[in-house]
Amino acid sequence: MKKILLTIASLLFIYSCNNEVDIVNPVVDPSNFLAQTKPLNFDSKLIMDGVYEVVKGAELLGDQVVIKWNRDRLSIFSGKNGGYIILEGGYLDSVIFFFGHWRYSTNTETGAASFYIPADEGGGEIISGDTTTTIRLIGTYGFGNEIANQPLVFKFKREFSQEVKQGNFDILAHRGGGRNSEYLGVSENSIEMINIAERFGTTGVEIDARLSKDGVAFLYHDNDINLRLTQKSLIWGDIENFTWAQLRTLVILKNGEKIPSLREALEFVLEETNLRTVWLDTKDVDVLPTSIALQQEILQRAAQMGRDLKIYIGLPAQDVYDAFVAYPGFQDVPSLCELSLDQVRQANSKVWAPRWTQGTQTDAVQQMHAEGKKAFVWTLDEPSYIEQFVNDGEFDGILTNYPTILSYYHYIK
Amino acid sequence: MKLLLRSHLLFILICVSTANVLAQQFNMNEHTFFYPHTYYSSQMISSLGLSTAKLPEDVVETDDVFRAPLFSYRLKYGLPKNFVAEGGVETNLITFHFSAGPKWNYQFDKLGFSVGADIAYWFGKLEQFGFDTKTSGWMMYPNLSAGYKFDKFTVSVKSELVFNLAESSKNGESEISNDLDFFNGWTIGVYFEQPLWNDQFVVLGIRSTFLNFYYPMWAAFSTFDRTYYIPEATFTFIL
Amino acid sequence: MKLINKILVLVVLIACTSFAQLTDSTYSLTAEFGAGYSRYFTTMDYNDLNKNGFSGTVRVMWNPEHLLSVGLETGYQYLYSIDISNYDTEFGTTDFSASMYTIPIFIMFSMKVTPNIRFNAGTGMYLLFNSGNMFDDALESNQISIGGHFGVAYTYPINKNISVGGELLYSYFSKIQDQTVALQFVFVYKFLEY
Repeated sequence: MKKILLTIASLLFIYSCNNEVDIVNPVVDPSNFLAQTKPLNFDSKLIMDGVYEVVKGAELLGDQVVIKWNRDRLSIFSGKNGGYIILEGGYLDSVIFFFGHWRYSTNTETGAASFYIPADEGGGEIISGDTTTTIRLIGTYGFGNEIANQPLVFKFKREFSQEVKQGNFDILAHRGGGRNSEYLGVSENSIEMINIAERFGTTGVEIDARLSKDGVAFLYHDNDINLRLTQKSLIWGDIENFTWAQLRTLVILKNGEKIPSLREALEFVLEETNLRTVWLDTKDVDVLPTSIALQQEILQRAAQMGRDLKIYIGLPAQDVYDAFVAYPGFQDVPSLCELSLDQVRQANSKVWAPRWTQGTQTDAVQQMHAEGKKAFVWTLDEPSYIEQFVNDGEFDGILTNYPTILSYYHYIK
Repeated sequence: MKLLLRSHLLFILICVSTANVLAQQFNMNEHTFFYPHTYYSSQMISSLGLSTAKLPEDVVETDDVFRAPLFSYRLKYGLPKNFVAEGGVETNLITFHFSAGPKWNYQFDKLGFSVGADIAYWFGKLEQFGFDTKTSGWMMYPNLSAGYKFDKFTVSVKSELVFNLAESSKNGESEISNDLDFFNGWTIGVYFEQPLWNDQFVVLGIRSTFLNFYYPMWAAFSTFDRTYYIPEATFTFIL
Repeated sequence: MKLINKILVLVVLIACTSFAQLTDSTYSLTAEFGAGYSRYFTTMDYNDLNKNGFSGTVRVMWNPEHLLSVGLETGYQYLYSIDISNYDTEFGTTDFSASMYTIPIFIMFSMKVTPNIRFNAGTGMYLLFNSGNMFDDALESNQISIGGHFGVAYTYPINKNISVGGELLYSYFSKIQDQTVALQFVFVYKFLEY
């Protein structure tokens, strides 16, 4: 009997564990104060962009931060644990108010954050659109669901350098903006993820295209329906075995979204975001013709809108590469090749994109630049390596799951 | 005749007794590895095993049939005053992990205890699939074991704390070091040791690891700071 | 040698062999057949999901003289099925059906804890077979999942080679993070002894 109980107890102990992570959603602006404010205009927002000294709150975000507006959010990036703050803002009288949350990108620590810029500490000038270097954000932060009551103060230090302002460096976010394993509250390769990507400092996204059994292109990374990407459903197996209607109806992504079609995703990027680069990774050879057709259509519409948008067909593997160079007129299709330099030339790719684990490869990158091509690198997440690649490398863009970390090291250059 | 018969019967008696011994009587201290029994000086026991781990999907992004295998060879050598020296090597062919350390064992009838600490050096190298990577590190494993001896098998529980002492990696010409937290996590394992056939003992074990950094997974370069639960199953031959 | 002595020697030899058998000094190979009821446990929330079905196992076990046996297993286990009429979707209304069953391919360990009770544990792969229909399009797919079994079996010997009994078997499927509990009737046939 002792032996039986011992066996059962030990096995129960072993199997009681799992890899679930609890996520806290901080309470932001509970009184809905922002509804009383007016939005800042585009010129006002630009005045705020720069590197700031952390006067109070260095224990949370280190000694300096980068502040940058994107579409409709103010983002603050730090070098400590990939910490960032995303804020909504508006002004009332001559004071600018912000409410949002902070989070470490390399873990799930988070909390509420709120700021104001007094009229005499830059608020008045910013609202009027007058350039000023006297800007002070005075605020508080909290942990989890607690009220924000820890002091957090930033003081404008300097603008971004000329190199940063004039450069065209691409901060590329993986899987539309981030992976499920980063616990951002939205699913990878979803419209919802693309919608928030710019808040992380992203200028471009990488998305993964596949083809359904009845020829509809959609976004999905893995080759089968699994619990990493989706909620439990009644259908399992290789995703190419199912029609679009079956997938769209029966498969729900991890955070409750529907699988987006490739058309939906590209149209969203074109019409609802300011993203300037799409790395359209080809996960399945069969999706290539559809991807190219949609790429061409969206690029045409972008040109008509006066929108600066680049869409590159990704060539990650030999079979996709072979299918691409067999496509009629492939030389005129903007592509991104992950293979050798010779294959980049033969496919007339616009971008060479090697894996980061081969180092900064400066000689090869310079060769590509001399031939009028760009070089990206993927998928770089380790903060110390990100800093090295930004400072010592000559890549035109870095693909990462932590665009907030990359944004920090890029903008403080 | 009487002499012949007696010798026959004596032989048969020996036969029966031997069969009885072979079938039922083992000195567990001679045949078990994880059970923390006392060793006599210069007693040596070694084991050769295979463990498989279910790696977290968040890191490896697959839940296929692939289960990270780890081959291991371990040796224990008895020293005076209840001390034991233990050493071992684990490998999955792209990574090697060498460990060594002392233990102090104490056995009270059927109950055994041991306390010890191992130091380990590990290194990995990968130059295929887009990698040009070398990585290495030092770790420390303070450990505690307890075990109980039944008639025909032993059951032991071993727990370790895991500390990162140093770590470095090089990708191409880019290099970083000491990027891991000092305290890595802990493990706990349950091991059943018993004979399978004749006097060939085997170990069936399950180990739970709760680690921030699981060294066989180094090539994933996982950056997210959290504790991963990684269960391992072990099948080992005692040599 | 006189007849009586020969008989005595023979008796002792037989006794010796019997005693050795009592102390399990023989090796054997057994084929074990299990069949019974299986219940599927899932966090999926469908009212019409049928989770009751058939479970069957076939094992060949090597039983040395000690407590532990080792062998291979395969079998069949029904997981679930569902049939829904007039299912509303963004593509229109459709009838929908889906089902899944699995075939395990396992290495099994079995440990005797009493003369009649064994703990069984195994690991390996499940072949998952998924089928159904939606919008008049067949759903056909299969894939591999890792997983494990854990069971408790009680068997009673009817004769030298046959035992019967029952087994309670818990199975876990890693790919779909669901489990089953099966209750099986077990028939064990010892087909080789040496």
